[in-house]
Amino acid sequence: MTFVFKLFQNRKGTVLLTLLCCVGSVVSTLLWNKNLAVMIDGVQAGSGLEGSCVAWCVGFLVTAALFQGAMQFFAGYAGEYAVHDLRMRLARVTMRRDYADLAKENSAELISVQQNEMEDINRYISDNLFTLCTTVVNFVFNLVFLLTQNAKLTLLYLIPVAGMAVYTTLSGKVIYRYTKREQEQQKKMNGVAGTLLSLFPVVRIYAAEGLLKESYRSRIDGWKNAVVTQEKTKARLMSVSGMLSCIPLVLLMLVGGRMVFKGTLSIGMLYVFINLSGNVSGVMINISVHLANFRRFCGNLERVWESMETEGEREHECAVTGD
Amino acid sequence: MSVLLREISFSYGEKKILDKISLTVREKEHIGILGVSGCGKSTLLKILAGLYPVKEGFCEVAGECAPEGIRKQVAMVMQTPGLFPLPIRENITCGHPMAEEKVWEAVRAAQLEEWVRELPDGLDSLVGERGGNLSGGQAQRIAIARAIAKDAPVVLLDEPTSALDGEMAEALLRAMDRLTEGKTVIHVTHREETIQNYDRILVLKEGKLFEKES
Repeated sequence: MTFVFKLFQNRKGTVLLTLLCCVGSVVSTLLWNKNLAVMIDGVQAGSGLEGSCVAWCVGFLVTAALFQGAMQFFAGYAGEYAVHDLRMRLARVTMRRDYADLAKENSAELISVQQNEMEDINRYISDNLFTLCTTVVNFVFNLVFLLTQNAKLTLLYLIPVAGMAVYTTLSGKVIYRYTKREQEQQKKMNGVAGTLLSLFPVVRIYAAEGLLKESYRSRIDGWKNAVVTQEKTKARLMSVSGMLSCIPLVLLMLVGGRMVFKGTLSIGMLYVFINLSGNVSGVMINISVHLANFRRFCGNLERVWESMETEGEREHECAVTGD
Repeated sequence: MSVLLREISFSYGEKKILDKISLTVREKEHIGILGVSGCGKSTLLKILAGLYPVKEGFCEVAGECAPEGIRKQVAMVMQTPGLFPLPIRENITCGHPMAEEKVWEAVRAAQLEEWVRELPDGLDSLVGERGGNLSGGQAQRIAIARAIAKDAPVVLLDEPTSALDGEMAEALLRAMDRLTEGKTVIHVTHREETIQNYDRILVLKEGKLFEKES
């Protein structure tokens, strides 16, 4: 997390604006839903629609859309600038390095690895980071909203979701283990391909083409087997997860429907519960995926950041930590 | 005649590195070539190793003129060991069928036997990417063992001790004695002390080869 804060240190204002717009958008959506329930209940009771209620609904919808648009703008701006800052930092550090060191450390490969990690960071920031922020804000506000509307129904439909969250976390760990194995195999395979290029003179003088070809073939096989196992395991675990994901909705229909029959819940509110349930249960079920992606992003960022730390910064860190 | 170069020229683009170089090396003769960094020593060695095609002039090594043929006649140890991320055994045999005893002979000659015997997997111990699991001296000695195992009539050395400190370089030079015994040797370096006992010392300067004045 420290590195995420460091990355956005110079863009605090934009990040804050993004979060505020996100909160604004979520609150407006919730208010629109609350009014929607009132409208449905009105129609159900046969009292018709009140003009003011419709006007409020339109107002909330427009506000939500405006906040959404502003959030996209600020998120894009903050994300792109953060990636730009990171790229400039890499460029500065590379330019500052001694030529002899660059040659010794096989810098082309190092820089290529860094650029791949930067690409991952870039993709995550653009596609996921602010989406994750929105998801978290959505989750918190929706959960509080549903609890205030009907705590019993909320808890009843969310309890099994907690079990599903445990399942997805555990299956996520299994998938992660296989993914790691697959990545190791891929790394080994790339290692042989890299060797072939960097040790070209040695390969030719000692006629080692056969050895490397054989080694490359066996590592391709190793990688292929790892990918197949990973995909099979993933498909098995994910299909169960997919089947389980209908449980919250089924529970809402069963418990909520019963409440409507008993008159303890309005039909409008049941509709709103169904409408918003995904914002809470979906996050809970996929929490492990969100966390894994976020951890991966943090890991990439940490590696790239540390490799780009200047001597001055390192000394400063040591002075702060007392190392 | 073990090595014959006649009026060899070589350029990188517009820049001429070697300018009509001629050299004759007798069988089992040890030749040292001195020169500053960037003077073309490594380029000359790569031509002698059959790694660069000869565009101007004539090159014959152990009776072979074609690069493929030349490569079969030479063993080379470079500044960096150039190890494969494979077991020590494969780094020495390079995948060619070789008797166990011959592999151990090469290991012994490169003064690696004691160290290899102490390794849990012995010759099957994995060498990390670019020799990552080893010290510079150990990695370079595996490269020497590989050259010994090839048993080629011509040995080319491109500053194999340049990346090592004094003590390690000394040990490596002792290992190299076994590699160069009874072979034609061409050793390029910028450090004269490593070639002072050689039969002849030449100097490469501004693309030309000169006999070193004593």
